[in-house]
Amino acid sequence: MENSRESKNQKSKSPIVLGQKVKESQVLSGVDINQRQSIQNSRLQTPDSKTKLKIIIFDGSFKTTPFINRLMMGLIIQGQKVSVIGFNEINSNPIPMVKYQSLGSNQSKLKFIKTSLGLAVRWGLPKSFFQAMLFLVQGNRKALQKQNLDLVLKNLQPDVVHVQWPTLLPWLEPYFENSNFKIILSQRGYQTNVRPFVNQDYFNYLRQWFPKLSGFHSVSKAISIEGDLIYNSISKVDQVVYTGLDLTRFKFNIEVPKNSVLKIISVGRPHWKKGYDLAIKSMTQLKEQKIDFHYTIIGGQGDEEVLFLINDLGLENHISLTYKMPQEEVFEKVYHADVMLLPSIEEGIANVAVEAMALGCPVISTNCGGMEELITHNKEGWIVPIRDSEALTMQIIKFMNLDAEQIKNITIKARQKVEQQHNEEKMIKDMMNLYATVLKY
Amino acid sequence: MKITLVLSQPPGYSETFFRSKIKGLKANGHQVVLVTAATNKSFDLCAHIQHPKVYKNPIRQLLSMLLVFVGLLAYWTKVNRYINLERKEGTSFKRLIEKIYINASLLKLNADWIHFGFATMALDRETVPKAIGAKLAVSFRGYDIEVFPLKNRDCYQSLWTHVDKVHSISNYLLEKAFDLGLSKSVDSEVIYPAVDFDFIKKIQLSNDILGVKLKLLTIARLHWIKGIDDLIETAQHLKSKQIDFEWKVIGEGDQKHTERHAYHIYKAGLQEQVLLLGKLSHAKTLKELSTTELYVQTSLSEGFCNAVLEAQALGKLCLAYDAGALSENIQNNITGFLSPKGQPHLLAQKIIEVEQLSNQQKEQISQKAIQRVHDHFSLEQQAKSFSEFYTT
Repeated sequence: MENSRESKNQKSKSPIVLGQKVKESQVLSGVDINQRQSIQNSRLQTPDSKTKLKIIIFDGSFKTTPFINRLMMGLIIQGQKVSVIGFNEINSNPIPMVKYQSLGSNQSKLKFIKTSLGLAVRWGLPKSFFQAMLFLVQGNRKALQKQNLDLVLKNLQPDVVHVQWPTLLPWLEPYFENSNFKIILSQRGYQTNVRPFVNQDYFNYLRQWFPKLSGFHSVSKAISIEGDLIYNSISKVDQVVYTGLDLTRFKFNIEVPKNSVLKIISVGRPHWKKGYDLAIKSMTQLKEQKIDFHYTIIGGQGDEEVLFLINDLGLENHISLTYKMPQEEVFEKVYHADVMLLPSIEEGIANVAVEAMALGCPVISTNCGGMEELITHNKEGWIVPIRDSEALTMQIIKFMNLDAEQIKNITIKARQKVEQQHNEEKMIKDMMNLYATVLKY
Repeated sequence: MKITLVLSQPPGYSETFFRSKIKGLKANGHQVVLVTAATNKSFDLCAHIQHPKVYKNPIRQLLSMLLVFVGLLAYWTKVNRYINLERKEGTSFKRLIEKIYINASLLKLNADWIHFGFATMALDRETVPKAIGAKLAVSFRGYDIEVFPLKNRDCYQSLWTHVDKVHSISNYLLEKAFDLGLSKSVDSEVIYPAVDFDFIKKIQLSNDILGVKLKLLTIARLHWIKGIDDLIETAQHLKSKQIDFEWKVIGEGDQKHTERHAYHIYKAGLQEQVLLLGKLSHAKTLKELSTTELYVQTSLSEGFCNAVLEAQALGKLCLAYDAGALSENIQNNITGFLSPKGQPHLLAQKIIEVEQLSNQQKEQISQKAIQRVHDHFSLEQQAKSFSEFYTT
């Protein structure tokens, strides 16, 4: 199966696409996002409270993102029927009332056979059963997974299939013209805002299939605009649905921490797009200026580049790395930090920053992706240009010179922004509007 | 001398370092055996033995272990010595069984030396040479010493105890190894990489570097340690100063690194200036090198860097970050130029300065670079050093 998210490190087989310039004639269809959105808003459907939909979330695996988990819980409470389909068998953390349907695991051959034959017997006798046996004899795993998907779609009879990653679209190619259900795609990160612009084949593929989708969900306006560079049309349905939090779980820290050493924190897996190399360079500059600080990267442990830079720049006593840790522990650390850094090069919109703002931790972020939709510079936090370690350093120093009242003023506004833009009810309402709109048109 | 060289894979045809080493040792009358992981690749220069394959399927693995252990019965004295050595190291019974299996090919050998081509190759095999009555030699490469121990603290403690002789490709790496706990009393020798002048002579090289654009070249894998992000930032500085240039990068990377750098180039609007050419053959690489005006290396660290050496052998003006062993490779302001690492704006400034040197100054640097490589980095010298490495 194609990896549903980012591919693991593998040798790039196709010729290197050299940061190619996507031709302007390819991407500009003369439709402005504002123009499209105003037309779209006029057509936006609000489902009545009695609307009951069958929604399939197609993530590739059962390990759905926190965003989708919160969405599914909200949809279930509203009485919608939600299923998750994926290429695995075991789910260690299921959401109650959500139906998880395996399409045949890639990990265990035995379970794969059991699931495939089980689906054929339950829903597809006799033709599918014999077909399944034939595929098994041929060792044609992909064909069997396609059959499993077909059986599942026919029997679950969804109204909407909500695809989480563009790399999953090839599985749904036979269904783009179907009249039984709508297919929408989430635009959330790397597969929309990076890979299409450095891989011409991938760009061309998305460009070919995007027009056939019923709608798009974008996690930010910024990523919606990136998606428009691939395909745009006046009739395109593309709804920005921001991540929403259950804010009752986020205790706001009204007090500005008084740490003797400036405690700086970042949270996230070590990937080049997270820009930790730039944050580490910035720490060198802080050290040179004899500033007393400690920087913690939660989730950064074990990354060779990060370890090398810390060692090479002599920052072992100033930077700590931890492995990924449970969410409650992360919140605890963020709650007590003086400031969170988001040095990323690209993001849809960073959940960790939304969460930090909900907790009352001030955030300094780069202007990547949708971050300026979350933070207005000097209002709800601070924004610096991407790939600019000096600007980051300057902003940290400016932050240190603020008094507690000034910081509190920012964190309160940040919390208000999250309450208004990133509450769970709004997320579920906006997503239901998107589902209703694609079902109407 | 019977010398066993342990590598991960048989060296490819273009990997001159190990190939020339093996040729040189044979020419000096030594017997060489290459041992690698199980592979389909064959090797033409000497006898090639493979380690037993490790299977995922437990039944296949069990059967393979049975066969391998039966095959070891004839070598019981060596195996017994190995068991005793490993017991002294505190190896558990389960691990001992695994280690006997993975080291079975080595335990059957008759050798005077077992030379691990990389320090990481020696891990879990440290006591094998003693068990078969051979001496243990190890070579250092950049990753072994610079990166691997950061993730695996004290990983070489056992190696430092059992090593008889160390080969390093630079003084820089040797000093780093001392910092990692290698005793200074262990016999060590720096043998630098060498340039194959005969190969260079065979290629039809062009010296046509004329043109409106400034031609820059870098040969590096697309990997963070090669500082390609810094290269792109340097290019941004050059562009902002209205320099008309073209910067080719030869080398491939995994998907993640390739996308990282291609995206950086795309966002910086440098698609016309910075060209990622992918992997090229050695001959094509040398051809590209011959038509470049400046060779630039932005690596954050280097064990030595053959590409910089070859660029100097061709008389190219070389600029590099002062990182790792690059100051042993380039004599600053004599055979090339060094710039502080991690400072793209200073590198850009240096590129402009070097470009503005008079032709006479450029020629002087170029000649000194060629001369130094000829005098100190020839295959003949390397072969002699390696031959003496095992006998002195």
